[in-house]
Amino acid sequence: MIGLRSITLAVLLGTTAVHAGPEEDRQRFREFYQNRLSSIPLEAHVDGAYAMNAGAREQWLEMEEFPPYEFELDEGQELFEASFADGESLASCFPEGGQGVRQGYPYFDEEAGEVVTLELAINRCREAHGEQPLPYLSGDLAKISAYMAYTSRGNVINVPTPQSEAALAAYESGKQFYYSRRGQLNFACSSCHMQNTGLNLRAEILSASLGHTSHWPVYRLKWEELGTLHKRFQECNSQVGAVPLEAQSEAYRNLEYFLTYMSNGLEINGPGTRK
Amino acid sequence: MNGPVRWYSAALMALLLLAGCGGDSTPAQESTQQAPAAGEPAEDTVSTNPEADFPAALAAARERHQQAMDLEFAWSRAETLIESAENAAAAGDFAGALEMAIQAEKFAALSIEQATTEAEAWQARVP
Amino acid sequence: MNREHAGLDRLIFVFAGWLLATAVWAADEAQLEKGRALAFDRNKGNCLSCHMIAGGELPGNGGPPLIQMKARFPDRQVLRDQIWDSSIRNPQTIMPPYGRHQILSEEELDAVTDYIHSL
Ligand code: HEC
Ligand code: HEC
Repeated sequence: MIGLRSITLAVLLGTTAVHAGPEEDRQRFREFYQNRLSSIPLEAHVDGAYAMNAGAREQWLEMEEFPPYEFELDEGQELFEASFADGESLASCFPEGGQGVRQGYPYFDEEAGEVVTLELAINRCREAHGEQPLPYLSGDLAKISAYMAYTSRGNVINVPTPQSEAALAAYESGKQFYYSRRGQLNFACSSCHMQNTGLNLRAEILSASLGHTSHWPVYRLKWEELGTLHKRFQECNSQVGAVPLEAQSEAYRNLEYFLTYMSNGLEINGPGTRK
Repeated sequence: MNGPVRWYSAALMALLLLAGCGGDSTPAQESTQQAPAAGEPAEDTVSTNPEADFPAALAAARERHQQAMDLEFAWSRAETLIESAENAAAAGDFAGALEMAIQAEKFAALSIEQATTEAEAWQARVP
Repeated sequence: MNREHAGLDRLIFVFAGWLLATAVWAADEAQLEKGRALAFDRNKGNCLSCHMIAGGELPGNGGPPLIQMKARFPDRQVLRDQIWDSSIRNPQTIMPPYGRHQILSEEELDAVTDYIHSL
């Protein structure tokens, strides 16, 4: 009896997981925050926790008037425009010469059979032109990524809907990562950023995952420099007692793919500033 | 019945109680002489030769932790305990090292259990 | 019965009683203080990140305030079970399973339970 019931349950769960396509997932994701935080317009979540508290928002807006990432952003432009040893530059590897393209990343590369993030594309371009790849967490790569986000401000996030079996598998793996409990403290991303969003963890307000990928890289006062999205993933894994994964690991790229797809339709506003 | 003897023993018991409850017991020092409590898993049995038992315990902990790493569900407590165990062994504290290796393996096993449960459980959280 | 002895008996009885009471009281206080420290410690219980607890600074609000615990949990064991693994009562809880995942040792869990029960 119990066996039968759990089989039925498994079948039911299985079918919902198969039938709910990415686009339906995205609608439900948005509805969740619409219902949960009904006083906050969905578009406002690109400002993270600062969409949720007027006092904190005011301080943050003041900080953004003289953004602490300004210097790194300028350096990012120089690095972007610099010539490689072979005479080419980053612009040669991107559509539109790399101007205003942030909203299309990450995407699923059907030929390579994997998710390509903006940071990965930058390093692959460098390697294709005989340059060394740059470290993924902060520094020059974050600066270049910041410049490319800056030229894309206001563009609407537009990650193509996964269609092929391989793309859907990558998307599903990112989704599973997001909803799975990890670490000794037993938290899923969704435990904090959905179940507890808008509430306080000690003194910190928990942001919505809608809009989580819109504003990277971020200058965090704690980091005292620009850092990439995968650096934040690592921190959010570490703080629950899980061993963080490598930046740009397949799992983190799939997670970014899922999360960014959820934010389709919101505006790019990177680079950002956070506490 | 001799009254005073009864009361003296009551006072003595009170003193014993005070001694027993007041200070923190130091299980690490006492455990070598104590039999494992009933119901504790067999691996908690105190080793009579920790130096000889340590390498196998460390290998077992490393293997479990690596399994958890491969599943992308590893816990940092297991990782730090393995490091601490190695350091303790290098410093000659094999009893401590063995205890930490055993504990590390337990955490690694818990993390694998978490991976197994979550393989299904995550779906209940999707809105 | 010897009168003198009876008097001495009574004196010793009072002394023993006082000793016992002091011992129990001191042990209780030490246990509660230990439990409080564990509950507030960010690397141990860190209960404040989600619960308001009297005397704790900057509490979060993901969980209910921990007040009137004896009324909420007449049975201490039920309270201990809640802290040991909160997912038994609510599978989707966000409260960490302090006992099941050995975030706290059984001994530490007793201290935290005693402290929370005293609130
Ligand atoms: C224990 C709670 C907790 C868990 C679990 C958690 N986070 Fe976070 N996360 C935070 C806190 C606290 C912050 C900083 C405040 C904020 O912006 O929400 C944060 C910030 C972030 C940010 C930056 C938000 C911004 O506006 O820039 C991202 C992105 C993020 N988390 C993603 C994740 C992902 C992905 C996971 C799962 C791998 C995850 N988090 C798991 C607590 C958590
Ligand atoms: C990440 C947030 C979080 C942390 C940390 C946390 N709790 Fe909880 N706790 C909750 C939530 C949420 C509930 C409500 C019941 C549920 O959802 O499981 C709860 C419920 C409880 C209850 C039951 C309260 C009632 O009135 O029914 C007790 C007791 C409790 N927690 C004690 C603790 C103790 C002790 C600690 C620290 C050792 C702790 N909690 C840490 C989130 C948390």
